[in-house]
Amino acid sequence: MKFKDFKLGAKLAIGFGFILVIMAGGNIFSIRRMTAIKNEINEITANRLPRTLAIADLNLNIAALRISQLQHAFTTDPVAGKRQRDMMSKLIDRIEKNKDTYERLKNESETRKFYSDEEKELYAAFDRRWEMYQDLSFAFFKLLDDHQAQKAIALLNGEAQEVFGAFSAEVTALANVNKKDSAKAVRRAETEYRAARAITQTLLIITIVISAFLVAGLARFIAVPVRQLVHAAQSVAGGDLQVHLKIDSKDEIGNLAHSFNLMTASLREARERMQKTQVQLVQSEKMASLGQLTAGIAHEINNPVNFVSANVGPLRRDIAEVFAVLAQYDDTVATQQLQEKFKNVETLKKTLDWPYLKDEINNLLDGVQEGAHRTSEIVKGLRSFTRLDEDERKPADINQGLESALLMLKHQLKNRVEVIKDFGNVPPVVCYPGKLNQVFLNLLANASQAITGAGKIFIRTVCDGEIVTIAIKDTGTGMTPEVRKHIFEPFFTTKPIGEGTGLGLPITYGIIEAHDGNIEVYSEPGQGSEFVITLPVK
Amino acid sequence: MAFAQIAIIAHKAVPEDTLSQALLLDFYSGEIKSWSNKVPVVVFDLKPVGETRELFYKLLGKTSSRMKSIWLKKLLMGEGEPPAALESEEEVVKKVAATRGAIGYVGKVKVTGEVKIITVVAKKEK
Repeated sequence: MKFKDFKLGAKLAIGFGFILVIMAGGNIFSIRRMTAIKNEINEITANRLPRTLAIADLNLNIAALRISQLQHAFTTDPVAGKRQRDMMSKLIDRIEKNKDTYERLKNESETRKFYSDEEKELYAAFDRRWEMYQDLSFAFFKLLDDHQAQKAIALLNGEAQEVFGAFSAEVTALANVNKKDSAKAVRRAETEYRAARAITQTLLIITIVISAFLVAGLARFIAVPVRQLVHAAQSVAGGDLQVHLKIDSKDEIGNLAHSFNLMTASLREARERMQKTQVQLVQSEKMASLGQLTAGIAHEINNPVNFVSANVGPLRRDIAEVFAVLAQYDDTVATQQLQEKFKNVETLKKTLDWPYLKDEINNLLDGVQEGAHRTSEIVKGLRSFTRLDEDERKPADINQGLESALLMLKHQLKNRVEVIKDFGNVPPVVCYPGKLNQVFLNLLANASQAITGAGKIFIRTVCDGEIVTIAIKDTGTGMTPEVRKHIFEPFFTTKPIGEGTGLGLPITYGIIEAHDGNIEVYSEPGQGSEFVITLPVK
Repeated sequence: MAFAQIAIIAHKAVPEDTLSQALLLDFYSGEIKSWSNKVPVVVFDLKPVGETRELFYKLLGKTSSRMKSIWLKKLLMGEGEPPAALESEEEVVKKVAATRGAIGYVGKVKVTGEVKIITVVAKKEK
């Protein structure tokens, strides 16, 4: 699982957790270092200094004891002597107290591991030396008691002097050791402080850098996609449904983007469907009103045309009879010598070019008859366009229907147009077979007529289960968009007057609509045309 | 326990069989000067030879220099002399056996039938 696939909350938690861990780690480290410094300083102020002071005081008290002893040796007055002995006893008390203080501090220091072996050895040596001095003191007092003051003084100035000098040196050394250790501790504290400061500064920089990355990351993971979403939403609000967001993270924003894409896609589809439906609606509405109009026209024309059609036959017969009567007149004139009287009639006939007149009357009658015939053909077409309820629906083979339409056009196509069939496996379609065959015939005839000289017609049928698609494509002249727009309107034709009724495609359209199907045209001038019919199987 | 290696010994006529650690210290520092039968206490110490003396002072809970300070003060106040420090443990046994009210310490192996052994109750009293 990649980082971008985590939820937003998890992303934030990971980022801030990371910073928190670093900061906490740095703080703990610094606090430990600072604690070490604090301990060193504590040790110096609360222990090392009082310890050194106790030792210095001890040295002073021992010196005082020795001076008192000397004084005592010279004193003969028992009262003064008694006072001096009290004084010395007090000095011993003080020495013991100094030792108590020192040893207490020493024990504390030892438990904290601050007490050095060097000092320990020096103190032990000092204590042994002190014991030696005590032994000499016993000897000194014994000599005094034995009234050997001179020997006692000699002892104090001799052996005791040496011992005193030695332990004075030891006490000084002890103080020096403490001074040295204190200096070391201070240096250690300084080192600790520098290390803590360096660590804190480094961590601060690291934290700033990581925070910067985190903010940049958040911007990348949150702000940037959100901005994309906002832009996309604005585009959709502005009507552009082609927007597609490319956000592939698996977090909430990724989900939102995915939903947004689905939403625009379904909106797009809905809009396309709606537009299509609208076009179809307009088209069928147009066809419906045209149908009504043409039905009305067909009906209105039918009556007068019927007069003409019905009257032309009898009129021709009547005129033929009139001509027969006139011929009879001609015969009569020639045989009964009425030439003189009819001379004027003959002159008139000549002036009028009588034989031509007769021919012309016959030609005129032919024209009237042809006109009436053609008018009734149009009316028939119009009726067929408006009424589809003639036969019954039944299952029929579409491929078979196409084959029969091709058969009917055989003489038109022969040696000129190559037909390429690509018939799929199409199930029987419930339809008006005759009407559908009319559609195929119309379209194939149009295709054939669109091809001047040699060319090809492609026929393709496909079924995807519920919908059958029939595509008829030619390599003919094609259509301009303007022509394409009007081809389904009645009486629109590009053929010379008298050759096309302009009803073929409107009828085709009506039939396909009656089958709940759809017909579409793809055409460009010079590129040929393709008619694609889709029909539901049931 | 290192104390198991040393024995506190006394003259046969001494009535006490046990002493607490604190009482033993009082005997040695000269605070208590006589036994329960009014016989004066005579304390013997050892010269610093071998480890017996060191072990004994540990039993008392004092260093030798601390003990000496106590004795020095007693001496200055005129309250008594420090105990006699003998050359050997055998001498201690001999002196204790020969002196009325005597008390001393030796290594357990040095004890003879001439002296009585006093048990130290390691009860702390402060």
